[in-house]
Amino acid sequence: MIYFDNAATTWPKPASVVRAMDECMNEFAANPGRSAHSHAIKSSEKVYECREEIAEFFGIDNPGNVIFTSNATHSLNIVINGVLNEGDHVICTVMDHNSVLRTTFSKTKKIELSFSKANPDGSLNLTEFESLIKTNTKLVVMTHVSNVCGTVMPAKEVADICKKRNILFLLDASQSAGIVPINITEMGIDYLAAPGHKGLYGPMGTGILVINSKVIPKPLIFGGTGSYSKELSQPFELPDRLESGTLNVPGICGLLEGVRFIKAVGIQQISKHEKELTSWLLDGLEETKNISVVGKKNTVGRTGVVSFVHSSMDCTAVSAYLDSEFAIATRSMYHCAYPSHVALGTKDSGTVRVSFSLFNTIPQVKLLLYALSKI
Amino acid sequence: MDFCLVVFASATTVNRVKSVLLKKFQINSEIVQTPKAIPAKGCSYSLKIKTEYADVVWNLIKENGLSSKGIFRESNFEKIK
Repeated sequence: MIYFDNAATTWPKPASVVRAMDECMNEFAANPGRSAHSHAIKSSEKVYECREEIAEFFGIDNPGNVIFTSNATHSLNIVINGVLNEGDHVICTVMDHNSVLRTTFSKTKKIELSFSKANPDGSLNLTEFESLIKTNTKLVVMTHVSNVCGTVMPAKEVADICKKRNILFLLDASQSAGIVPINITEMGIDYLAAPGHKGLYGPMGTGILVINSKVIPKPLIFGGTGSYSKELSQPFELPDRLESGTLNVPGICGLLEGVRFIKAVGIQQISKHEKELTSWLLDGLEETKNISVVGKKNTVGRTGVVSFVHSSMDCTAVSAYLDSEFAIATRSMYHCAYPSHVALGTKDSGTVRVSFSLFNTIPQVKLLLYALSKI
Repeated sequence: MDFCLVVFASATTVNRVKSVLLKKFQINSEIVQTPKAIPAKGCSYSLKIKTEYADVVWNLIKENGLSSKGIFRESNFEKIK
């Protein structure tokens, strides 16, 4: 299998990730933060090691502000549901994923919601964005990188605007964590939501919420934390406040090694590799008959998520053909982000999406281009 | 050897202090369950350290705004901080 569906989840994972999960399951997977026997302590130490690694990776001092969740959607839900109150206004962008759009939309009986528009290449118009701010704007939620076309959004500029206007900023780093350098302290991001299983190379079922704000979201779920057991109210202390129930320790052990893998390779190197593959793909697609690239046509301001349409074959048929004839995995249709397609001009067609990881190669891209030329 | 227990409610905080003590001060410590005799509002963890390091830990807790239930002698649970 040539796997070009890394925007959905990266595969394969580094061997160290698989080994760490295996070791955890076989040697010490007890409940962390509950008991005090040696396995439970080892579990708890591993979980903390991962918090520490992630805190350093994203540029915050306090590992306690790294919250483990089950995926980025979970993290986004915690913040959107946990900071907005009746009468508040929230701004999203049309390039956001349904994890943001549906979550904010679900609250529109009590809050106001505005969408910032996008240019035809998927980029954001900052002037238009700023014009949407109102006196009751409490939160801005924005994807860092489009999961449809790979366009990088101006996160630092948006964070600056939010900071000046005293608005909270939640960055959806689902397509950027581990691919684009992010220092949430330097960039002024209040909350970062990310999956563990995409660019961070951890397993599915892992996600993170990194908090860099004094505004702590209300809990989404309540329950046991292993702390303050005599009290019926949820503890205020992070991460316990937002982490009820048993953690996914094997997953977290895998995620720890995923982050260490990225650090060892270097995020600049990962970015460079994906850019090289993207360049090969974009150049090749431009020369392939009946194919049109959606979004940015060159490698500037984008990542290795590339969408295209075929003029005479629908996107699902293209993906099915690539899978059955060449064992090439892509994703087709709307990628859980229909408003992005409206902005990009693909609302009727959807797109075929190719997305890279560090494990993809130029010969794989060449085979994809060959396969497309044979349609 | 005289030991004391630095009591925390959160498993994350106890791990954080353990990690900083080792990395910044080269002080070894051990995570243990807080004895029931120490008032800690329910389940909690403690860091077992040599009593001579009690001031270092206490300063670390205060400087970083961490939440601790105090420092107790391991031998008789007398509160010393």
